[in-house]
Amino acid sequence: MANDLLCLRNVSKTFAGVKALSHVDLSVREGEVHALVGENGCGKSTLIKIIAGVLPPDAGATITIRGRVWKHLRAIDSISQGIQVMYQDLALFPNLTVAENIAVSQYIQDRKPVVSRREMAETAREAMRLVSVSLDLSTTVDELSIAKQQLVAICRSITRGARLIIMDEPTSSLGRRDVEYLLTVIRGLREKGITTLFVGHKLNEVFEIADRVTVLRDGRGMGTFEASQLDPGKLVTLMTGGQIAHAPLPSAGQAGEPILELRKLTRAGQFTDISLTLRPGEILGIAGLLGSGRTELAMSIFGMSRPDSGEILVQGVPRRIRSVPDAMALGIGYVPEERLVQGLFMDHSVKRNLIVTVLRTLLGRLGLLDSARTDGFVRSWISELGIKTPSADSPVKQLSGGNQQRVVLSKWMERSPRILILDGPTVGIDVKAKGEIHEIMRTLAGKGMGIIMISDETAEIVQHTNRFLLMKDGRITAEHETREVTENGLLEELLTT
Amino acid sequence: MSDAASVRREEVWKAFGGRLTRSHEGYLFILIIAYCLIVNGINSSFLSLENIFDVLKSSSIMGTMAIGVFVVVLSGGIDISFTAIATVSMFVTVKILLGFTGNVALAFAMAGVIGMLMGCINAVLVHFCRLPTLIVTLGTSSIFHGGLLALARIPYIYTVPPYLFGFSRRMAFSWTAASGATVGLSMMTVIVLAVALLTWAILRYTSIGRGVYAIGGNAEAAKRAGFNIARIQFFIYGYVGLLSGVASMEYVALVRHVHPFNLMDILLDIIAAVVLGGTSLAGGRGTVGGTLLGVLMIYLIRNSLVLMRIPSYWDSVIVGLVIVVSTGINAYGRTLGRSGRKAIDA
Repeated sequence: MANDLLCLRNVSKTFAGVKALSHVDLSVREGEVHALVGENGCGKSTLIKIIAGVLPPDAGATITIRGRVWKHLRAIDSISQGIQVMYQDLALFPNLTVAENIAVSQYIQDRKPVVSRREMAETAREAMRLVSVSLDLSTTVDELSIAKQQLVAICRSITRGARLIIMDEPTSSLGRRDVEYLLTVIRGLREKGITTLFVGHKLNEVFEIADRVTVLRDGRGMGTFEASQLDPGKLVTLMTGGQIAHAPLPSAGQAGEPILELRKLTRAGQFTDISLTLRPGEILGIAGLLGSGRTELAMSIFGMSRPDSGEILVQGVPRRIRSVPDAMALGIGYVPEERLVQGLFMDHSVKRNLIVTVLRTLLGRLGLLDSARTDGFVRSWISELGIKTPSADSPVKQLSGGNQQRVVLSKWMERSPRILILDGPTVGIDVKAKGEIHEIMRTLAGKGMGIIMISDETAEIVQHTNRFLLMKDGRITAEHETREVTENGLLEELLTT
Repeated sequence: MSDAASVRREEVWKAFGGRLTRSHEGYLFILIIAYCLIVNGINSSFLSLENIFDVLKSSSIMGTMAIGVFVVVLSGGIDISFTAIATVSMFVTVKILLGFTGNVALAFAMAGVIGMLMGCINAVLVHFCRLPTLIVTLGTSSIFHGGLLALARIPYIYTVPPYLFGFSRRMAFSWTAASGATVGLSMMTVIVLAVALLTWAILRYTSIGRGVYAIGGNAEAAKRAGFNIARIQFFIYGYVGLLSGVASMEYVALVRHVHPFNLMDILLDIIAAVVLGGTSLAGGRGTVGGTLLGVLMIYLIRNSLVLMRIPSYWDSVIVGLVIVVSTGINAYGRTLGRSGRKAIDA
């Protein structure tokens, strides 16, 4: 087609005999927002790298950029053709100012030995004008939220003359309000004629922003569709090959005495008068946006920060939880939101991560680790939770997000807590892995564990909780039986202030 | 009008006071002043102009080296071979200079170039062999210094060219004090100030200097942004080598002999001064001014406790305490700042 900015035909890529991509077609029109969706491991990143010229495709592929066919697309060609990739790590300099982060490529490109701060500020202002954002140029980037850092990265790609910006899962670490803002910025880019290839797997975002959608499954293109001709059900089917459906949970979990009760728990500046009860076998949702105090509350229950007033009762007995070991001794487990930072030792092996919370139970006679028992233990968890890893000794950072989340979960489950707090358990993982995490949650609840799930994904709350509380500005503003609420109703309630 | 002027004055004062108490440099400056006042209270000759200029002169060796080390640390690396580099270039330069009639400029140039070449060996290992900087410089330090001891049969030189120690008495300006002593700004102080100014300008205004900050902030991003990493690494390690060579000549000028071990001992003090000056060991953060203040603080503790009749064994204890407490306060302040920001951001 004449107005195709980028056109890939018959792209395959083989790594050491494994086909990561086979015969994929993709065409991106000038000025559209094109979504590239698919589960983790479906080949999205490989495709991005081929477009960026970082990886060469196997023979037989044709890459056409603005009508010109490229036999050997190098990274520098891709950039000179106006293609900019915004990777998830953003590649910013935390110690430098916003202005310098935006303008850095410009002054490297100009090859001037001396750097002018005034020119830097001008370049940055010009880029911000094009993207329609305004940021303080003199703050350093580490002082910005992730959402604003992304804006800096977008501005920078503009200074490099971007015609097509490829955003690799840009929303995976954003709260809902920031996602809304990012989508607005993308719409603004579209108005200015700048094309976006939006790579992701969150269906609602795809439907909100994309003009057209290309679906990948297991390295194969499942076709390109007008967004208006798709619906979430159909898209999920295309991505996973099978529909995932869940029976709604009953209103009340199992009967029985509350295993956890909070009475007017308050911590100044973070949350106020939080009262709740959790019964065995129940999944209690806490729906709240980033900054609602949801995570701070979880941290206080888990002994990481002490509440100023109020009571915590565990199995009917008032308790003071002063530290994490206190909380663990009471049978409370916590899987943090930023599992990557807080829950795992990324450079260490799956095995070490699995055993770290239960080291004491694996000691042999001399107080040293019993290696036979350890190996057996690790094997059993890897198979029980279906952790996909090359070996028990592979570093956790090599695993996909869903598998990392499983490692975190199993770490806690081995201690068989009675109360498990899951903070954003499926943030940043794909549809299929999400379904599996939900399945694990339900199984655990079925065995009598009480689970508190903190989330801002309405679908997750509506489908996988017995009851849920709505949290805003540090207070609980409503309590609902999940059965009585629809997803749209919750979304509306969550977003209105 | 006078109202406006006084408001303005107040604002300026506030901004100044704010900088003084909020920035690490300001805090360190206050600490140094306070320390000087205490010492002066016990021994009133401490804050005499004569002594002040003398401190500025003799701390200039540490200062010159520390600025080089600061650049390395800023890029996220570490150099522990610079004392060995200084010792070797000192020995080689003096040995060569004894063979013919040279002059001060030649001596400094020669020592600087020899130091720079050794620094470039570090750069090759760091950049092309992708070895951790600590390991590389630990290794080269041992090789350079061990090589000197092994190859030079007598690694001591007790006669140095007379123009070198003449240089140590050269002043940029001077006058005769009431006591009859000559007081003034030593050329050695001028050297360290010039080096500081040059380094500041390079780091702030040149593409290569911004590259040092960029690598220290996020090495991977620096590579992707298109910085010429090899060139920047050669600059960094070559520069610290160059400054080590220059400092070694200042040292010879001051002590008038070449000794293979004396300079080796100041390694940790200099790294401590850089850290005390507010440079993050993780890279990316720090200032030249902070480094100089750090040097001054360490130097003062090392050389003035004795004026307060405190046994010199306590030097190290107090240096250690100052480092731990002051960087601790700094880190704590950052944590507070960050959590405060988080609340606002949310």
